[in-house]
Amino acid sequence: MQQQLSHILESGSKLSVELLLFAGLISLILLISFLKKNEKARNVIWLVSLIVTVVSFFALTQTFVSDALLFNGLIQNSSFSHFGKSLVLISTAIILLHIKVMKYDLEGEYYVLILGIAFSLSFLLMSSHLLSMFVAMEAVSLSSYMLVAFRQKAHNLEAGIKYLIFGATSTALMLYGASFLYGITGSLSFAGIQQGLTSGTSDGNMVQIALLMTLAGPLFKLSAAPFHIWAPDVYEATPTPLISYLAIAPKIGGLYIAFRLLETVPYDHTIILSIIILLSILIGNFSALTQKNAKRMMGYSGIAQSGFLLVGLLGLEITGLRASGFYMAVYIFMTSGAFLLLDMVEKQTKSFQFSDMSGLSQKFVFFGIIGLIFMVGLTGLPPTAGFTAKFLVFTNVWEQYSGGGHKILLWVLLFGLINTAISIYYYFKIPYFMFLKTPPENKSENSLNMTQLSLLTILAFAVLALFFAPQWVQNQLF
Amino acid sequence: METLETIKNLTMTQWSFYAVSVLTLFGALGTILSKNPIHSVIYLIMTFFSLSAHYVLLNAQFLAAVNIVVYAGAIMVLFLFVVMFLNIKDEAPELDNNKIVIGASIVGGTIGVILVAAIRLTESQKIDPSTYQIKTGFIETLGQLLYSKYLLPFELVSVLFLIAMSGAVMLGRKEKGERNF
Repeated sequence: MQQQLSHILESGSKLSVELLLFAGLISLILLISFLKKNEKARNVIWLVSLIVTVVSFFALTQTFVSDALLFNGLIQNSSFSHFGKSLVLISTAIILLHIKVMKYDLEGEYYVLILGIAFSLSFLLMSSHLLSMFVAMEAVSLSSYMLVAFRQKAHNLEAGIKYLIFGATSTALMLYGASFLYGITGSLSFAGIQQGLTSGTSDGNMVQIALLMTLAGPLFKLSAAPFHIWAPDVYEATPTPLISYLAIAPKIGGLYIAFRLLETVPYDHTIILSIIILLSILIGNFSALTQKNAKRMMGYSGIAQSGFLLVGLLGLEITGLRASGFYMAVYIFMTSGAFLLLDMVEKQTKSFQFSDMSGLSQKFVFFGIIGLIFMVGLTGLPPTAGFTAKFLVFTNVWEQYSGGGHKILLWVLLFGLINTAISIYYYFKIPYFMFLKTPPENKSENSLNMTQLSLLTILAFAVLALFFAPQWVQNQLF
Repeated sequence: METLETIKNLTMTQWSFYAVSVLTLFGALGTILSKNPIHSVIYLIMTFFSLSAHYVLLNAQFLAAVNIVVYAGAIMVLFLFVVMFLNIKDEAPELDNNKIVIGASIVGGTIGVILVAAIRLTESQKIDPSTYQIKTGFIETLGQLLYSKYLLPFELVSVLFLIAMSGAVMLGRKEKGERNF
């Protein structure tokens, strides 16, 4: 007992980032309760949440990474979780800045939920046990459902309910699968399951099915097929900065957990994973083609992008995971930038329809060029980091295939390349309408806000810089 | 003939397991098939009670008690109250939509068939009664585990509830000038 207590106390001292985030969470709740409900108080709450995020980020850079198991094997602070946590905190900071520069006057509870997602994600990124994974994942889901439903307009609530129902179904499937894994191996920790499967005489089919069901949770977070159905509706209904956060942050956790689960079960997953990737890319791309609303288009694009993110997991090599990690880092800057762009466009035109964006760049040329950078990046063309990311994940597939891999890998490679070409059509719709269409006559003259433009420029700079200096991220990657 | 022999040789525990399982499935089917929402809720309560019986059979007495108190008691009564309060007279239209019913049955049936087939192929290990720890499901063992080995998830759940509570307060708050029920 004494030994266990000292182990728990020692493990607790290694959670400095999480404890900081938790302290921030509590102080936010106290501030909300005791401050008056006016704009000044809401600014204070915003500032506190930004400070907490930045301080946690610097605390994270100071922490020492070790692969030791903490809390009796419940969590493990591996180098990838360290990298993932820094990505989560960076995206949180970007979203908080997005909220401020776009002059959203959000109530304090939004920031509690945003920090709550960051807090739970950092535990999800460390989990090495089915129980801690489940609790952390549920905390992320719960905060996400509420962020979607918060505005209390009919379409927000509808999207929230849809998100909740799909989320609950995938969680139920995940739990069912996890219970089978527990039943087969008699252990809940990833290491124990792996050991039980390699030494035991368990039946392969049952394990594969149980794994596939357990993957429902991370795939829902990634919005990958067949758990993608919620994405377009939720993307369309949710306020732009919030959906920008929900589009990037949970994907980091989903990607890591998908990797850990696939790694835990020592079988060949090539075919299952390839089918998931092919479905996600196909469904996402072909549904995005016909969209008229830019935010809905981003929803389908998110499905396709998560397919590309998963490509790096094929073969479960460490180089592949590094490629996916790099993709994730670039994806954060590209997506948050694209959403900021759409938000700024919406401020000008009051709508997210492509047809209303006509001729916007003829008025603001610099704005249009910056927007073009994000769309080029999301497509995956040089000279943006989107190209480097796609190049790295496809190199991984090619190496797997030429090293005697399964035939389906070639299909993944070919489909990925073809679909990259197809995605040019819908991503370039935004620059096309902005540059080449003639603007309507009776346009009210609005000027662009300089702070908004500078945040957009910084994000665009990151997308460009990572193409010329990918080592900035790659050195951080384990 | 062989099945008849098996039925004859069933032990008391096995008899009760099958009886309770039939009840559970009956309640679950009633929940999704009855057109009146109140009937659905009552069938669901029945499912919870028979699930608790399963817990007792699995030597998890504490879980069985919690299941009855929390789910069958608190949550379902609240649920019934809401259903009656909203006064849903219209019978659920979802069951009249054949497309949804057929689609759902195909998906559910496929998962079921795959699972049954896979489980039949798997050899399961039997528990040895002589080495079995009778105290496994007792509240004392559970409490000791929760506060030592699984302390972290236990504390994480409290953060989860904190976030959920602040969100629920926010969602339930009335805005000025908004129409109330």
